[in-house]
Amino acid sequence: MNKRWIATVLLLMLLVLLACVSTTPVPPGWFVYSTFTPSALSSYDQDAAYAAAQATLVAGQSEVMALSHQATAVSLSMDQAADAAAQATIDFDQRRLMELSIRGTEVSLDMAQAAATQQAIREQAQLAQNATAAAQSQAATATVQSQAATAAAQSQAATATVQSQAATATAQSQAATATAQSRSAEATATVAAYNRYATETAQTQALLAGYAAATAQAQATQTAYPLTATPAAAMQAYIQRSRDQRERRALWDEFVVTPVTAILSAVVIILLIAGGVITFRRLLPIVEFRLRNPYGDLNMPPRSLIDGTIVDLGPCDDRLEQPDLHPLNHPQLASDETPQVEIIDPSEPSIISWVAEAERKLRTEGRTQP
Amino acid sequence: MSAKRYLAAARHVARAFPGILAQRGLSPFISRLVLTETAQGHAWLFVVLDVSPLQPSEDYVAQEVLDDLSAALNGLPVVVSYSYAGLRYAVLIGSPGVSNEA
Repeated sequence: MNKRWIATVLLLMLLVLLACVSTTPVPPGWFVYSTFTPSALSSYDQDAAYAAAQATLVAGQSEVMALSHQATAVSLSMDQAADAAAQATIDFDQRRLMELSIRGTEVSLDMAQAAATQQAIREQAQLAQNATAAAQSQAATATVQSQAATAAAQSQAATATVQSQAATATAQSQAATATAQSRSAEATATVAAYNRYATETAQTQALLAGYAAATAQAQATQTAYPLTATPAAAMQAYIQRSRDQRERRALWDEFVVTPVTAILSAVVIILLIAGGVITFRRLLPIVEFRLRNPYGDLNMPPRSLIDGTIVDLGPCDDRLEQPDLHPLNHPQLASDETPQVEIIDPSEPSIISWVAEAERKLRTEGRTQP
Repeated sequence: MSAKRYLAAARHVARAFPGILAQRGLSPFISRLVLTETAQGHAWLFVVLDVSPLQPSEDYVAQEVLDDLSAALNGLPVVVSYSYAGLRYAVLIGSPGVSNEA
């Protein structure tokens, strides 16, 4: 975008230079070349110089137009290069655009010199015209004087001296008339040259107007070019879409995916820890049993847990020899059978009553407790 | 204090009970053996009997039977109760300051 703006500014600078050249003479002191002052020229030299200046203007206009076209092409190339993110192409086009600008400046200076030459010629023509007018006035005065002298000579016709004077006056008058005629011819030629110069100036202005129109059209084309369905526009649209997708993906990753992933990871870790703790607590009694009974049989029937205490079921050998154990509430106590003793907390209601009754009986029978 | 330390004595008493009663012509069905220790440190073993209805329960509560049991158990106090869930013997197998060697 900045490069397109720079190219537009350079084009505008060129147009401004051309406008300055075509409308007004360059004021002295602006440029080094603007101090150019044409010397006084003869009529033949003036025609030649004017023709050379005209040729310079025409060549300069054509070269400026070519430069403008090249600048337009370079600007378009810069846009395309910018779209393709080709920095090298952009640098090359910038250098080329700068060279074209410099060349345009040089051509504009040449055209300014040519315009100064034409201005000098126009001033000389004006001076010639003024001189012609002065000569005509003098000729008229001389004619009047000669007529008066002729009348005096005719009326008096006196002396030869007077006649000779009259003849002399007539000769002077004829000479003055010839001089006036020659100056009048010069003035006519100068006027014709001035008219030709005005015509050429008008043509130049028309050409410049056409150039400005072409430049405006080129700018419009340049502005509308990326909007058309060209491969470059398609590429630019693709790049824009890719950029938008990347931005959306980055936003999605930043605000959704990453936090959700972190939260899920934390939840999984917490669940694993909780599962490990629960499993350890469940397996802790088995581990404890294994530590206390390193040679115990895990396939043995489960021990009875009564009031928070594991009931001792007796030696393992006896249990192995007796595969089907009797339930606790129905013991068939044999002589060779290991009794199954329940350890019950004394705070049980039934045990409390049992103990109270036994102690009462014991006191009643006189066998007091020790 | 846990009553586990009286567990061996309780087993010994429980194992001796059927033989002692059998000497008296009694063949009880021992349904439960309950060991407990009171807050005062008295360890009681309750031998719960499931007496057949064909055999009178007075034979089990006779003083001679209790004396035989106490004598066979090295003088441990033995009482009988029949309230709160049937007939049972209560043997005081441990008290504070007394060894539990039965």
